[in-house]
Amino acid sequence: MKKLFKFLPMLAIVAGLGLSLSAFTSAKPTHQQTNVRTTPLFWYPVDITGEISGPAFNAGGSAMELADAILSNPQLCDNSQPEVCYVGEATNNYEQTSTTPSAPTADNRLTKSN
Amino acid sequence: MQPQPLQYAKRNWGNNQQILVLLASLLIMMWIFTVGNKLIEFPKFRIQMLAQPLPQWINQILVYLLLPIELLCVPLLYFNRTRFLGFMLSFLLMLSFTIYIAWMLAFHEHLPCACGGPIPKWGWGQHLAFNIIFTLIAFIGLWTTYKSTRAREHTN
Repeated sequence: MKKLFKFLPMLAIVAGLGLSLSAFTSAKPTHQQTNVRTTPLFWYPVDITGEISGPAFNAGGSAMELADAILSNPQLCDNSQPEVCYVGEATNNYEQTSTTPSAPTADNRLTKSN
Repeated sequence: MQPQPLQYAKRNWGNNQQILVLLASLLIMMWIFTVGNKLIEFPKFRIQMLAQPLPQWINQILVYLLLPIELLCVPLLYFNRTRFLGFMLSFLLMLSFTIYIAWMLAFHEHLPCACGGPIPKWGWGQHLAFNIIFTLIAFIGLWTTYKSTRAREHTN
């Protein structure tokens, strides 16, 4: 029993590594969400054509770097729609909807990431 | 036959040590798991951190400061001599995360999660409960280490 306790921290390190690797390998398929809408992660102004015309702001109102990288790299998204990207949203922020969110348009000048 | 005070203290010390090793191991596993996950998906973690509703300069610092601090908990918790510091650092980190989540849930509608493993798939309530449990584990470890050290000083 004493020996077990001696090696317990080492076992914890191995278990932690194993868990993080398994979470990484198993997270991909289950992490993909389809037809979900979520609360905005960040905001940015769009021009009349729907193009992004200014810096993005996070939910706290602070200018956010890398917003373009999020939008242009679907690999970084937690959802499967290529034109919309949600990063790091907890599942209870998702609402099941029957429609696929669309990209920003002129109708919502200051809009969210979807 | 009644155990002598020194024998009793030694036995008690041994039991406390086992509890401390168990608590430290739980925290080590949690830290390795979280840091490992964040490192594996570092680009995503960076973006999630930058999306936090805090001033960008704080987010920028936290992206590169948080992981080394979290990782530092592991060697501190691993060794007997530094375990108190490990529990202290773990407690402070977990407490600050818990307060941040509670504050965000209370005052902000939108909260991106820069968290590893299965946590992004959980709800915020579960995430908060997870944090509270590990904050308590760190606090119990901290308290037990403090008590054990004092008891050992008394017996010497």
